[in-house]
Amino acid sequence: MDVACSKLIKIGIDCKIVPMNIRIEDNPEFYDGIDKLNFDVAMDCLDNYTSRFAFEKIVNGGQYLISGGVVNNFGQVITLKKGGSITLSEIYDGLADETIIGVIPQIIMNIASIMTSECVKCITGKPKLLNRFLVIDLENYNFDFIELEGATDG
Amino acid sequence: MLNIKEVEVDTEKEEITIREVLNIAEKKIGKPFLYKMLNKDGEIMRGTIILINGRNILHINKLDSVVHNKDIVSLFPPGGGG
Repeated sequence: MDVACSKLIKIGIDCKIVPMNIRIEDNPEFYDGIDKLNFDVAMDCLDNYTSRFAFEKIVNGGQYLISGGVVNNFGQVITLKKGGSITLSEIYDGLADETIIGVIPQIIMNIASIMTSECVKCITGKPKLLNRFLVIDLENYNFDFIELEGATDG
Repeated sequence: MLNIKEVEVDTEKEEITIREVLNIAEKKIGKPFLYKMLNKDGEIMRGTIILINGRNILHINKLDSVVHNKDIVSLFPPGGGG
């Protein structure tokens, strides 16, 4: 994480980068460490569902959560808004973490690019993937939307 | 997963279960795929997402969830890696 941070700083971007050496897990240490953060958009690029569900809990009402995941040639991105969407843990209910997940680099780049683009749209208040999955299959070059059900009490 | 974007399932019934829909879809497509989604007992395997109008069937009535005319059923293998 520190290496990634120093590389980004070297690029000279006009952003403040704050690395946080905290394990994203469902335990008090994580929630206490992250409690004081204020943000508009959170982006989840995590590699396991347990951490994704823990990360989702730090998103407060009105804040956006952009979640992206990949496996093999597939990937999906979705934007959720706390209080106006169902939760990741509901969507991904029943899924278990796999020990090893194979991915090709191209799908990671595609999903990461779309998440970044969606982040800008969230900041400007016009997300395109709110409550809808963009599912990408690079094997067959299929790009599909899957609409989720409307808002719940989330 | 199947390189099929969409398949329409026709039935004379007013409502059928998602299990029936999947079986009809598999026959119509002519390519077996349910073995990737259901275990030997015919229950949903982990790693499978089945949505009816965007709602996970685990939160409805699992494979006995009812599908109505014009409902949209979505199947996809979600990526858990990052």
